[in-house]
Amino acid sequence: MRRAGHEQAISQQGHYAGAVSRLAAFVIDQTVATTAYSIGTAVIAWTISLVTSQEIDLTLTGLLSVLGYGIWLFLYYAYPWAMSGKTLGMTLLGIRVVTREGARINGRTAALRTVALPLSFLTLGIGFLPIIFGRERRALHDAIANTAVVYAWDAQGARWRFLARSGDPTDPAEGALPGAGGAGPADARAANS
Amino acid sequence: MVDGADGVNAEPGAGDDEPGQPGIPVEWAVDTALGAASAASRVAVAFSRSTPGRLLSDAAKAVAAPLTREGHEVRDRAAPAAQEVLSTVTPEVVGAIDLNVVLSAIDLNALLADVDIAAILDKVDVDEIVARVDVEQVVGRVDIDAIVARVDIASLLDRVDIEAILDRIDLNELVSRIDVDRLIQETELGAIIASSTTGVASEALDAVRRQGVSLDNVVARVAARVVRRDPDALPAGPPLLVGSQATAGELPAGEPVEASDADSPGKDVP
Repeated sequence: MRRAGHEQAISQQGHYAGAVSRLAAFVIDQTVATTAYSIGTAVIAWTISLVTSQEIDLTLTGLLSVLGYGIWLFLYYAYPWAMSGKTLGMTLLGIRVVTREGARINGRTAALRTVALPLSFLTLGIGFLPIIFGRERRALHDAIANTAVVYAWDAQGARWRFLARSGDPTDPAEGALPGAGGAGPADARAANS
Repeated sequence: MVDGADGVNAEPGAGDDEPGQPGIPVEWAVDTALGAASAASRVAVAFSRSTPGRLLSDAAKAVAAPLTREGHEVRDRAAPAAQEVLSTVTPEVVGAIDLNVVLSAIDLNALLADVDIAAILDKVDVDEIVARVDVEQVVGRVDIDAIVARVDIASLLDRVDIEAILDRIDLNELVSRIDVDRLIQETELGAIIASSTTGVASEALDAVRRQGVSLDNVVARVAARVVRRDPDALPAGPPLLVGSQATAGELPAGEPVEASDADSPGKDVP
């Protein structure tokens, strides 16, 4: 079963990424970005209070804080996309942003995509529906920035690591000890065949 | 064989001086007889070509006709007896011949020079001969180890142009034949890979990504069913990554992205 998953993952490298992977990556990114912003603002507020003996409110209730949060999110998404085509969440899920043709995106495209991203929310999520129903799985902000999101992780390496682990007789996860009744290398090969 | 020891001199005219050999010397007698016969022969030939000679020859044939017939009959009767005598005498004669002496007198090189070896070989059916040979038995008698021990491998390899051989080999094709899965599972390479990765973290990440792909496919198929569209007819990915005309159904083993760009646990993940 896991081998079939590996084969599927390998065969789909470079293909358009699906909704689940993209949603999971976005959730991770938002969580990390918001947490980092909260911690950062708290540290800044605490430092300022230490220096000036004045209490300031940098939580997301004030206009300044919202503006700062917006700028932070812009930097959080635009910079990694411009540099490598992927944010932290996208890295974890093994997806990346490319141009519609499949090339690397530049800084301008990354900035445009970041600015256009909120539009997919402002349309009450309708802007995300093409990820599920579109021919190229491109959201509204992808269409605006002329980009696409594809699977781009070392699936072949992952498969080899899996095979190496399954071939390791000391790996308790595979239960490959001789006579232990687990799925050892021979069983794995049989399953593969 | 005759020689001087038997009292017969090889030199003409020397026989009459040999002490202890009374009577007519044999060689002198033979030479004289041969000389007389030669002279008589010349006279006979000259005479037979003249008119009197031809007349005399015809007369002699007419007179000797009865004798000729009787002689012919005698020859016919004597032939079997002669054959029997020859068959009896020949082995004795052959046994008496010293073949070594005979062979030493023969110039074999000159003899072989006149032989058309190619014509002889053309008549030989080599396939028929080879078919009769038990090659297995022949090979079984060969001591391969002894032969190999006599071969100077280093010298042999020095003569080999490795670069030329490698130029003729399609290494990509060669590598594509390697069953990497078996290589990893059945050699120490697998243990090296297993020990070089970060273990649980990389395995978890691989699993998350794999599950993400699986769920994406499920969602895509459900969506395709909702809109009544063949999911395999959709474009698989950007043209630069999967080809301009490629669809999801046409790429069961899709083109991987560049390895240098691909994410790898332990490389990009903090």
